[in-house]
Amino acid sequence: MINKAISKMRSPLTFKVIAECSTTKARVGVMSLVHSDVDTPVFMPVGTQGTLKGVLPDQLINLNCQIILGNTYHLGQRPGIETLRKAGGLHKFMNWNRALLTDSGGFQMVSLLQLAEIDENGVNFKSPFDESNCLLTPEHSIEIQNVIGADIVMQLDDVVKTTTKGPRVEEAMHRTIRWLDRCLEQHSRNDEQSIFPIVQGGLDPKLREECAKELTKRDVRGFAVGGLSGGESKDEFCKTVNLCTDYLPKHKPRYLMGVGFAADLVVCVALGIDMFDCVFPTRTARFGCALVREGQLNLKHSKYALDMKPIDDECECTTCSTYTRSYLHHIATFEEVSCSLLSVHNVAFQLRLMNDIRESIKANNFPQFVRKFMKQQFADGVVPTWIKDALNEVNICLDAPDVAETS
Amino acid sequence: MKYVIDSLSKCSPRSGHFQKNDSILHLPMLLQYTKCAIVPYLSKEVFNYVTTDAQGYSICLDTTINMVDALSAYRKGIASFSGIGSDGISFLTIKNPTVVNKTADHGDTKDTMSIYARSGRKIISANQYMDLVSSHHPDVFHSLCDGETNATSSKRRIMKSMDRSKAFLEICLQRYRQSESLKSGSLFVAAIEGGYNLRHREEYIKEILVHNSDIHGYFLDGLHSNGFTATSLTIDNIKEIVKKCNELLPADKFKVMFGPYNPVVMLQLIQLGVDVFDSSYCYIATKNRCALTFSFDMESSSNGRDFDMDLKDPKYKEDFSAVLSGCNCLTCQKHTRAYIHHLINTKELLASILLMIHNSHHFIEFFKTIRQSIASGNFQELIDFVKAQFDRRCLLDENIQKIVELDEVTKKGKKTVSSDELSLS
Repeated sequence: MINKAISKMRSPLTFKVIAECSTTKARVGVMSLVHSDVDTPVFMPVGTQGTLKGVLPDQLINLNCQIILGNTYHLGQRPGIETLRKAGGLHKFMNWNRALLTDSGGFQMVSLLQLAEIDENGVNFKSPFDESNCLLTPEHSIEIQNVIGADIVMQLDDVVKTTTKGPRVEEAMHRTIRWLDRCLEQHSRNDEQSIFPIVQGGLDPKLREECAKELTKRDVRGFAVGGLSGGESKDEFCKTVNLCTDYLPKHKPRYLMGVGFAADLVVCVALGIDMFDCVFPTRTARFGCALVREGQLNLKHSKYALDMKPIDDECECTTCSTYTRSYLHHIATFEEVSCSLLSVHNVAFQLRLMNDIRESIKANNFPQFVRKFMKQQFADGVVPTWIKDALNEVNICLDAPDVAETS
Repeated sequence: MKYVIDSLSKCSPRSGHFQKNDSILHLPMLLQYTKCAIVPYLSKEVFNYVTTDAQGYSICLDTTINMVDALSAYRKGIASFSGIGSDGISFLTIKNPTVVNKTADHGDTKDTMSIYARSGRKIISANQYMDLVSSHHPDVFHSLCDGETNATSSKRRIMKSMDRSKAFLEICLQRYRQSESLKSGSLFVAAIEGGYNLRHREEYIKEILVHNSDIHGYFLDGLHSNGFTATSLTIDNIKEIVKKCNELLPADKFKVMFGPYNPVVMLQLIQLGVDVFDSSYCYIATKNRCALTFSFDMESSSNGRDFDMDLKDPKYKEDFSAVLSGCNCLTCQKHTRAYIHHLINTKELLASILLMIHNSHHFIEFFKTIRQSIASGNFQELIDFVKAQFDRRCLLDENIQKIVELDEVTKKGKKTVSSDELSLS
């Protein structure tokens, strides 16, 4: 199915769209990376510090997970770049032979470190370990990411709060473009790793358009949409995503950063996004929550104490094939293994959702899939307006009878 | 479920086996220590990487007593409920070898025992205990007992422990005899009390031997208070008592000792005729961030090899070798000391998972070697070989207190979530 022969140049990233939804902007693709092929749309679980919390790399392979995320900021702190260099990169260090993506580290600094200040040179921050003054420049970010060795690396971008208005948003957008050029200049492993630029511009359609158009002029292999999921309304969020995908080239993958709720995934695939990441599925697992199409089960709730069903009858993960809700109820949140068990399920849930999405697009019945999904997700029949509106933009009308858009 | 003791010797290494359906588990046997009836840190999927052979499991009642309503509703027993599976052998015990016994004489009446569950103290009578046994459906269980004696216990405490345990035993046996499902499904093990007093032990054993025909095995209890301090117990402390008990007890019944005995003491207890142990020592090592690396391969040299390896040590930061070269476990086959060190440093759960995989695997292999060595008649050499390595080490002992404290902190903290992750978006 994947034609590797085409890539005679051995490009570290080739993207082939193999099916397109005839109604929406959704598409199915195969992204061939140095370490593995990735079927898109894809959800990428987050392994912040060189591990997906409580899950072995072997288990991820059993789950048919093709790509995971690492966080540059955390990895740069511990184990540190020198150790990673000596290990031969993160793939070898953690023994993960499939694809990896690393962020630039900038987002963590702005969100984790109160004292981060951004100027043209880069992000100034105080080390959380020894309080020393540090500076993360675009060059430095890429240098670290070159050592980590992920298949896809992210440019350092100028992140502002989504709700920021005024000239700061515009400044950040232009600076992000300037920083991209510095990142590309610094990049020393262009034959093994692909830098993704990040579309910024807040909620301003003009700025987003300008940014997307400017980034598209660069010789890059994929794009990210950044600066969202930070407190803006869902309406604004969808509008911005929809606008960005309009301006991004069709033949390159589009990555929406930090998005991972099931309904958001379905909507944003319809809006033309190919890649997602989010800590939510693994984090919520640690709080004893299991994801299902109807939402999530808080297994600590007493109603599960005697519930002898698996989390999800249809799920084929090892957690669902071995354990009941009742047993999980009795160990959730305090017995460490519960974190592993629920993370396995929640990752399986995300991956199965993406697989179902891909299959429905290939069969050209994605709109039907979306309807069915929304019915399950919102059992009371009340689908939030932002979802209806966003789907309307891509020709799915949830209120119309099922037959309407098949023709 | 049946058992066979092949060698009818009393105070020497013994062979034999348990058989349940198609599964045969040989003596001396290692029970996998469990919490909430699951091997700590290891889901069934992950434990299958350690071994797919049928195993014995110790089920610690203090960690499963909260599940009793669910077990009654579930009806298929604890092993199946918790996912360890019913192809192995589940052994229900009121002892949790990794938790220090609470002080005795804490206001229990003479008819009840306290079980200290996570949710608080549960006071149970022998009859209530037998109800718990029924809902757990273990393959093996021991009589309710007050084994809260150790080398420093007063005579009064020992007497009290004996009186209560004897009374419990009578009731448990009576219930056992009356229950067809228990008789057909579970083996009955009698707890032996008497502290460190040889005469008391002898009296106790003589009295309960009248029930021998209904008893399948004996549990030598009341010798230590569990928890980390029990790892430093030496054979000299307990040799006389264990020997005396095993001389008095019938040779054709299996002998059990729960506790986090270090590997040398386990070997020495096997030499005194003890047949069944649990792997709580592995869990304590894992909690202490240690990988067990002692050698039991007498063909190879143990020179320069540490008995165990403290992977917190910064010297492993850039050590990209396997924890133990030549080890076939997933941890050693696929990961490095540097990676585990990093995971420990960042308080990642995977550190405990990888260490528990290795330590469990190491102990399972250790017991295979023990059985082979008994069969081939060089068991004494195996003891000498392991003991020489043990004598060189002092690592775990140094950290003993740290672990106990750490344990207390985790219990108070309750959550398993690392705080730095929570602040991430």
